[in-house]
Amino acid sequence: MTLAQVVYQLSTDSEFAARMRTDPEGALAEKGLQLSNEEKAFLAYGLRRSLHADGSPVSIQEVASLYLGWR
Amino acid sequence: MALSEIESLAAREVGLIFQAVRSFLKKSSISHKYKDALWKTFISLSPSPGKLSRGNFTLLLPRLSYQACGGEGEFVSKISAAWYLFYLAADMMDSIQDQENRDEGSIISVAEGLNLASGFFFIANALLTEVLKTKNDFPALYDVIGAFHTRLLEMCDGQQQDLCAKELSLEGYLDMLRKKSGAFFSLACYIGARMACGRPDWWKRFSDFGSHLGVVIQILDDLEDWYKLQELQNNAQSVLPKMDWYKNLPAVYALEVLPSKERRDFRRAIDKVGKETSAVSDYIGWVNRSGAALFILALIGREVGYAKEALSEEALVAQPKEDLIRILELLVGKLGACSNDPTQRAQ
Repeated sequence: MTLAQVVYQLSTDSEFAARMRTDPEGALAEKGLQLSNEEKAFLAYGLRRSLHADGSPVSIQEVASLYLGWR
Repeated sequence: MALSEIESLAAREVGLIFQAVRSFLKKSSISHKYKDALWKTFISLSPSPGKLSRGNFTLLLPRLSYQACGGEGEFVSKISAAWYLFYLAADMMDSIQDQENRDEGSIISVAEGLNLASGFFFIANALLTEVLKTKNDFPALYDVIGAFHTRLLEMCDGQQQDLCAKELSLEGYLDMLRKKSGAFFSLACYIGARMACGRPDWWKRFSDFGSHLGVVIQILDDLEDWYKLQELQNNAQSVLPKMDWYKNLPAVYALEVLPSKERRDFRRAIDKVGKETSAVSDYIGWVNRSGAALFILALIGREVGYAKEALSEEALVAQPKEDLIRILELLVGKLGACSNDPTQRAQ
């Protein structure tokens, strides 16, 4: 699943993450990855919500606590 | 529609479902003892009308789908009751299977649980047969009853995949989620649409909406275990949650994306985690470093986006359609409330 691979690269490779902000097409092409426009939008949707105000990433436990209480 | 109005609609639906089940049991020839056991179990597993969770709003899916497709008159509550009874039965079986795998739970409770779940299956089928006797739209009802069989079988297929594999690839895991909750909530929306109209393109739209909503619910279900892990880290007295350390979405994602050496190390960490409480931090660390939080958020965005896209048909009746979307948004809370609908941005 390409979306998963892109997320992994974004989370572990700071150079790739920086380039994704300025030249996403180039960054993806360099890694041999391709995302559809929809996938790019879903990724942007996740990215907008996955960082704290200071730019640090949220943890999976924090994501879990945000959705708590639905059942 | 305001939250209180959705709550009040859902409370009414719960009341109608209770009434359908109670009436059936009242006239059934089974013993009072079995009736009592079925009713007590039904009540204990069901929400009380005055205390509904956001998840309980999904009981409205068949009726709202019916109304959104222009269905005339009242939706037949016996159909909603049948769908709900299948849900309870499946949930009981699921709990029994989990308990068997992890606890070697009591034989008596397992056996009795299986028998009560079977009772729910047959009451659901009997309610559908009663609808056949009273309604004239046979083609629609045959399709609806057929859909119950095919989608529930699909759910069993997903459950079998879950039970028989120690590990699943990310695609395999998402496929399993679609077959389990996806098929079940797809059924809820399909039966409403099918009873309301003769448009296969709309039936598909509602099936798709329900399927994506079902996947969201399954993701939220997986996340609950992760919240318990957080509690464990905050409070050493907390008990290790009974979760499948290999088969939960964040771990499946990490196993998929980690390079081979790291994947081997992560597997070693997983194998330790059930045995040593101290290994939990290591397990959590692997998952977080892999970017699982971002992946889960993107995935929820994807499912919510596709669900909304499925209902983007202007000819649908506006209010019930908006209520369906509201139920989805209430499930995912502020994070998923799609004023920033990703599918819209993609165009």
